[in-house]
Amino acid sequence: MEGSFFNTIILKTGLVHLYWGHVVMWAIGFAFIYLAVKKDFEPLLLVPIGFGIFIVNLPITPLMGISEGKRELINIFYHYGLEWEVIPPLIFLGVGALTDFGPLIANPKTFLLGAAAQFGVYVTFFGALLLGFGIKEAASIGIIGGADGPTTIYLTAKLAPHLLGPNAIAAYSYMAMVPLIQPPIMRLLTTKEERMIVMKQLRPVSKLEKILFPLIGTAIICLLVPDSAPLMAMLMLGNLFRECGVVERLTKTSQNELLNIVTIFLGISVGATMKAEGFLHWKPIYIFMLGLLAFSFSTFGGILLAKMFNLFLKEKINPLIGSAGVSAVPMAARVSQKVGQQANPTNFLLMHAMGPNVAGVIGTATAAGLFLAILR
Amino acid sequence: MTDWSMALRVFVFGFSGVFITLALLMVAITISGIIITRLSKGKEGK
Repeated sequence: MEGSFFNTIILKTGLVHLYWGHVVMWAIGFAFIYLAVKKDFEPLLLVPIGFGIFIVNLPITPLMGISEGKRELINIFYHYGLEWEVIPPLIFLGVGALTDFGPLIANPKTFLLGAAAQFGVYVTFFGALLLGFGIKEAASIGIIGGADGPTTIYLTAKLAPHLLGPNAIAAYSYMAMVPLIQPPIMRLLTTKEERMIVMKQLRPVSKLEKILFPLIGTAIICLLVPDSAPLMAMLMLGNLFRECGVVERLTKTSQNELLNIVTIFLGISVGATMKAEGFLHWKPIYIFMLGLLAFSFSTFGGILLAKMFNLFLKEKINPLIGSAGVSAVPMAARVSQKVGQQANPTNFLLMHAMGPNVAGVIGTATAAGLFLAILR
Repeated sequence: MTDWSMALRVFVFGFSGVFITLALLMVAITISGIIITRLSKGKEGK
């Protein structure tokens, strides 16, 4: 009698359900926390993601499943946050409230650099198809090349929810590694003379232009690509809060408290999708390889178009700003600045690179909307 | 079995769609910038 009771208790612990896959996933979770703490790689995301990976790989924990017809704790965050598409648009609200579109308004040509830097999205889309992924899976992997975490999550949740964990991890990991991935490609594609080009100072942008931008932007994008509206409308609403100057409390809430709260739910929900049973096979490895391909070709696309511009423009632009079209705001713009200063220490490219950088955010959300329009 | 004709359509429609959308935004922002600058110069002139 006592023996069977003891057996029942033992069976209700996680220990007897443990297998090597769980331990591997713990190591992956700890690696993310290590990268965040020691290397400062996207700590706001990698800490909750790493912890999420760890706790869902503690066997039979009531966190990510459904028991007695009710969703368990993290499953509730996942269901209402990601499956209901709430979290990515809320993050875009915060991003909009943090973003100054002034450099883009002052130099609208750079919109096209943001478009060209989506090249990697489509190259990777074909790469994923060649590796045997389905067409919807390939689209969700391709969008990693946009270097925009919320958009990757938004599209993946709609087209290939089973790839949410690896896609999100690949997107955020490579975003953190932009300073390592981009500079060799930038140097390879440009001459020292090109990297030394000094650009004319940007014109000042009036308050009225900054207020009109989110309104014009929302109208054009949502009319042409309605499927990108949840992301674009929230991005532009956040930016309108910022620029109109009369809703300071809403702006600060969007930039800080709200963004921080949804980041917690996003991180832990994404981490919790990475259960050993679903994660330890060939697909995530391919996704990581394709993610690198995506970032590389997006960098290539932006720089190549900037070089093509210089064939026609009287006032040359520094092609290094093209690489900032991959989003990853503001890290990609800082990389342009850094590589530019290595060639010419008196050159300041940061503000010039912010134009394509924020155009890249719009470009990636547009690309995601177009994928949805075609494939859903 | 991959539907390559669909994949090609996704590429052509998608990539050109991104360019067209952002090009239209570029044109709209350029025009609105010109109008606003002229209007504000006109006001300063008065």
